[in-house]
Amino acid sequence: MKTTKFLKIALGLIVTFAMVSCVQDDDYTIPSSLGNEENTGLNNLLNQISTGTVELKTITEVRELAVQYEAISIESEIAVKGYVSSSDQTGNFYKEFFIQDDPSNPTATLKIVLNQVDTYNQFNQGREVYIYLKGLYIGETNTGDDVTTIGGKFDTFDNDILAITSNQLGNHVFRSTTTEEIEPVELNLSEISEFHIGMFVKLVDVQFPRSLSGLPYVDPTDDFDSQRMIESCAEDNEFMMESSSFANFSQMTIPTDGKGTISGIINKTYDGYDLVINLISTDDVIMDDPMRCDPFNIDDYTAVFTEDFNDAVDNTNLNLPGWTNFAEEGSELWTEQAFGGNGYAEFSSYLSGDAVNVGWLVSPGIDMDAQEGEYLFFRTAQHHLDSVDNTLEVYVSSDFDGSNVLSATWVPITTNLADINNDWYDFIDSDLIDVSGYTGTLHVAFKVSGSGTNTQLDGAYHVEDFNILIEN
Amino acid sequence: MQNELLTTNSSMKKSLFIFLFGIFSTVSVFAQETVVKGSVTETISFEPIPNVTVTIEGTVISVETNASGEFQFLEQVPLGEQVLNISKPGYTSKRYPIVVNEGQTLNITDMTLTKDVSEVDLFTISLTDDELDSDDSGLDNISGLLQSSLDVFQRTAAFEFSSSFFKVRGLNSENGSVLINGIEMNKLYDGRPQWSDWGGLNDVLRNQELTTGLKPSAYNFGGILGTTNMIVRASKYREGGRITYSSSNRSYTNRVMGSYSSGLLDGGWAYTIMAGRRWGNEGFQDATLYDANSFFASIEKIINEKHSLNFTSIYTPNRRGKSSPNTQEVYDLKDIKYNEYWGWLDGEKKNSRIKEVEEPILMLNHYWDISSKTSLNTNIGYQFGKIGNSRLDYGGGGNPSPAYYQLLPSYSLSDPDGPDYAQAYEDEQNFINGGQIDWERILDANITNNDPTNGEKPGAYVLYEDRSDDTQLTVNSIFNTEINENILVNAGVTYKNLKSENFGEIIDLLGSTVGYLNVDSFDGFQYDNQNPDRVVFEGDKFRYNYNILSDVVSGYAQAQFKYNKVDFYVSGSVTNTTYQRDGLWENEAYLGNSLGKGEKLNFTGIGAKGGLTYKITGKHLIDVNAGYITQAPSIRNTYSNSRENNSIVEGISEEKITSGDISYIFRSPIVKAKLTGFYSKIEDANEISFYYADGLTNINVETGGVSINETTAFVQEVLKGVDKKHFGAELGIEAQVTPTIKLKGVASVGQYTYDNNPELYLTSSGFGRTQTFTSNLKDYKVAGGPQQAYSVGFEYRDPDYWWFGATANFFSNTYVDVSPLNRTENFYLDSDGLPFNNYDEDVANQLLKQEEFDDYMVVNLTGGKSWKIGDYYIGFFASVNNLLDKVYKTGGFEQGRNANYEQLLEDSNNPKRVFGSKYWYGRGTTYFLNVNFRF
Repeated sequence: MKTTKFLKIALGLIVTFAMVSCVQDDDYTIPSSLGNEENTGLNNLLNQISTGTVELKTITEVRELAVQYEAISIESEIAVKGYVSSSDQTGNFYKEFFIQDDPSNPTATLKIVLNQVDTYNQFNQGREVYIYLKGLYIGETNTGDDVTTIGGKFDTFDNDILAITSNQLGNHVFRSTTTEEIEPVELNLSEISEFHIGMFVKLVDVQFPRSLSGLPYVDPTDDFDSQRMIESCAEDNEFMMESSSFANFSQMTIPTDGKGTISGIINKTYDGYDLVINLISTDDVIMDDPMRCDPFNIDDYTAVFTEDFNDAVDNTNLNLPGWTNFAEEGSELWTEQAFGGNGYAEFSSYLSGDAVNVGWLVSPGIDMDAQEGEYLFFRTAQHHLDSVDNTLEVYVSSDFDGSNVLSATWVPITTNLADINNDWYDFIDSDLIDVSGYTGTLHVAFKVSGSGTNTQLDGAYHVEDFNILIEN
Repeated sequence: MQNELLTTNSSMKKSLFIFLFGIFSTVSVFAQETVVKGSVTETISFEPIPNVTVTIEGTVISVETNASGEFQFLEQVPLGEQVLNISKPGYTSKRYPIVVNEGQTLNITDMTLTKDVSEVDLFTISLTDDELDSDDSGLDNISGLLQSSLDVFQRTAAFEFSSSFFKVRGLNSENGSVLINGIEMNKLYDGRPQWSDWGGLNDVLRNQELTTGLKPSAYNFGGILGTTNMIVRASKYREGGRITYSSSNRSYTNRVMGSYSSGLLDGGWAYTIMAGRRWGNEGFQDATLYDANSFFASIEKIINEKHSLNFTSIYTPNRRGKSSPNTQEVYDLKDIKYNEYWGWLDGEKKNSRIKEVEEPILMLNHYWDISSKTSLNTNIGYQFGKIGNSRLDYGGGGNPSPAYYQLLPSYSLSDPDGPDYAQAYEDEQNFINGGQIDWERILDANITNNDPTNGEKPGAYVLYEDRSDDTQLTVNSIFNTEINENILVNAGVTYKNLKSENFGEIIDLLGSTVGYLNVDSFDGFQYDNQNPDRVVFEGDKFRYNYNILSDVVSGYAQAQFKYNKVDFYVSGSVTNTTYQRDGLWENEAYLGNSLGKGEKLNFTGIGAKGGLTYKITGKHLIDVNAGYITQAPSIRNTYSNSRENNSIVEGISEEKITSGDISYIFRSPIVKAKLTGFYSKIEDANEISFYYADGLTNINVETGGVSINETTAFVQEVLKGVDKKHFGAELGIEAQVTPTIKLKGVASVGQYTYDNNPELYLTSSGFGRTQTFTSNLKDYKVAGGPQQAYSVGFEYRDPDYWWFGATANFFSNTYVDVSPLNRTENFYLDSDGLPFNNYDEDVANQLLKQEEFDDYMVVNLTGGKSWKIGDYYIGFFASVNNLLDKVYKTGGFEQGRNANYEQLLEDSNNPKRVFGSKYWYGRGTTYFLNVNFRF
């Protein structure tokens, strides 16, 4: 049949067309040419470096070109190599990244400003980057902020360095295929200096203050950045962490239930006055030690035993119930003192007349089996202390019989005590001393050694707010 | 007209009459009764033609041929010499002189109709399907509803005005119903027909029945725009085949189609099959690829005289590249073909936004002629499949849009520190020379993130698809009976059940081996809170996941009365609609309101309409229609943010539509004209939109009592209780001035405005819900196509089977879509609740004045020729649209970014607006060529 034949031809034609006439498919295979252009750019630069047309400088050398408060145009044929130290993946950096001269032992850094967001997915952390510097500028993005920066333009009004434009980028900034692991420089808070600006560092033995408990990284009432305090455990030191309200972790809660390490990039505040640390990610906040190192807050504890010495009768030998006042050498005893309504115990060799004074003040016995988790806490102060040989020592004993001080076994306690470095009369908190390991009846002894005849050794010690505590 | 000879003068009439009767007629004599009957066949095949309208000229008496091409007048035909006019869409009308004698039966057999080449080929153009379905143009096109019309006004609206997105009476396509074999195909989601579901099947969709406006349809109650029923019964196709090839530069570049119909075979079987393909790498807009296949099969078994069963399957998988609306700045730097959605990759233009539709339709139809007067038609339709719209997500990268506002010169020129001309120049050159998506950078970003050295990272970019997978079952029964020769009764019941699965799906990781994070990168919320921080891969669901369940039960009944002087009808309907959202994921931003089933909504809609046609004489008619309809809002306008939560528009209720029209119709052998006045009012409608707002100064969040200082947010804008008023007049006139030349003129003058000041509130994951504002929209124009359109044209039809035509079309009163939020008090109040210090009402009025686009004229040409070679026909057709290459805006919308006075003022004072309105432009000069071969 003729019609059937036509039909077959027609359908055959259509099927054929359907198969051969393809339009854009939905396949996004990565083209083999991907990155060729950039590789060519890098190879050209490397060739020029090897032939000497372009000189490869270290970051330290490049930084020497900078003159503060000026935008210096780089006109010589030089290039620089570095490893990207920062990342804007979380939005805490904006249109900028830092490079450092070595992945693990950096000695110098540069900030690169460019007109591009989400630079992390191109200039990823650890990426080896070459920058052809001729035609770019070196200076500061906010003149005077001490952050040496490479940019593409500058503001003629205030010499601020402006971003490398997207057109400049392809001619000046080249990635190699290498990405190195960036090892953070480990630092105590006291060690941080301008030297570290732009470096990936790890702050060790730190925690966030308890007062930040429950708060987010960025205060919702701040328009741009929030500063949050970091405390050192090992040192009496603090440092600021600064986070952008545009960071995606801005509303995450700051971890305050432990201590540990915080890694990030050392940077300057916008005004250039202060050093701060900028996080790359909250993954770098590792509070893996649940034991915080806080100065103690008595409200968090309940006292099993407490003595505030506020019943003291001024300038009388101490005779509080249960306390043992014993002179091992000389005749001077601990005294009760009251000053401005506050009572405390004092031992002073001043004008005692004895060549050697050793005085013990022993607490009443504490029943260590009646509860768990006991801490010892007290405060001490000094005045007229002239020598480290004029000592205060603290001991505990679980076999003191209540009268015979010298026959008991005294275990020395190392803790924070008032010493020659403190101001006179300043009460210094002891550490929160864990005494939960003791059983039976525990006594605590304060032992002062001095001299009534040697004026270098006739200072005085105060003891105050003696407590045996358990956590609430 | 080939038979004009027959009517040239009365003296010739008789001799011709005798001549004709000698050939065609037999005269039988019966006692008393005068009967006029006959049959009509196709000139060449002698196949009977059904649905031919046979009228006695100068009277209102008319009748249609049945399936066997036979007719008989039921009314008394005037005695003496009369002229019989036979016509059908797609055929050249003919006139036959007859003599009716009292008491005799006049049986006129073998009258023939010839296929009208021009009409047939107009069908062939089939309005470029992309225009019909163009959801990226933001404009809705109703032309598909009208293309089968014989009325000069509607044909002009369909074929000449469609590229301007002209809408008849300013109404959207959800006001019309599209049926296939009596089953409604409009989507429950938005009430609109999804034209792609049957695109490219032109050959088999020619058999269409259109009722316009409120006129009663034999199949359903219908909306206020009308009903088109496409009949795809296999037995209704003429035996034969057709092969077509077309070439165009509008949407696809090539089209091949083939179809074959068996005609009625032995044993009562008939089948029709069709296959087609349309494809192209690029239409008029850059990188708008087109890739569509079409398959159709219909088989019918006529069991006996009373019963027939038909099974039809339609499968038209298609993919299309979308194009972007752009600001004027972008058009000025590029051109009107510019599309920001694509970029070069490996030497190929890759479009990131592809719309893919694959929704097969299966239907079983039972036809039962209970008696010669009564029939019952029962249908089951089942549709399933998917609609996908792809786009790039950039959770870990910069906005990949090459026309992102910060990349354009206007941004540097509006620098708060003063215009940065150097940067602006650089941006301008970059945009002119590039300005497309940088796929290589996107792939490189993901590959960079794969590097494990300092910790691998999820993909920065991903290509995903917004999916809507609907499964819908429709069952209906349509009952027709002729109570007597004057009264026709139709009734029907329908049940629809829809399960719509909506989700995002990753379709390409674009080089990432790590995967992509299923978390909102903007504010960190978990999309799927039960599986936090999940990394998703190709084929995984992403972003949102929910179902919408819907049941619709409806019934209607109507009666049509036909008398000598007057025809009239009354019709009524009742519909019950339920919607329920079932959240499959818990969105972290909406804990407690996103997972699980939401409230089950129940709407009851009623409809009542009636109308009459008064025949003053056969030449002069008056037609009046009026109706009142209440209906459920569409799913789209019911849920304020269905992707993320179960919230519904507060205080939602049924929409109410009041509509009426009155027409004067003039019919003479030479001139046909119709003048209509119309009025429609739509009340209590809702409109939901989504955008990124900047300048939300006066937001007081009711829940939580927390004061916030959010001034920018991605928001859902709920406009509720919107009233719109549409009124105007239409004129269509055609004159057959000579046998070969026809003149046409059409005018539509309307005014479509907001008719109240609706309530507005915003919701956002950032701040919850705002207070309720009043949006002062009253008397703003409704956007969407020109409100005034005019056309004049002519057709020349040579007896040698060639023809051409030309039209000039004028459009005016096209308006930008205004931002309702800018018309609330948020616009002029500062955050302290007082007007801005610098607020100046005159300036504000200037800023808020609705933009009206320039008037324009488009000239279109068509022409064709056909040949008969043996038993075969070859047809050729060509058209040129916008011959003069006129550049014109078809639509646009105000960007929601500058939501207050200060920001809008600042932006308006810039040398170039950064957030100016975005526009769509019409196409420049385009062509369409078509060759077909019939056997």
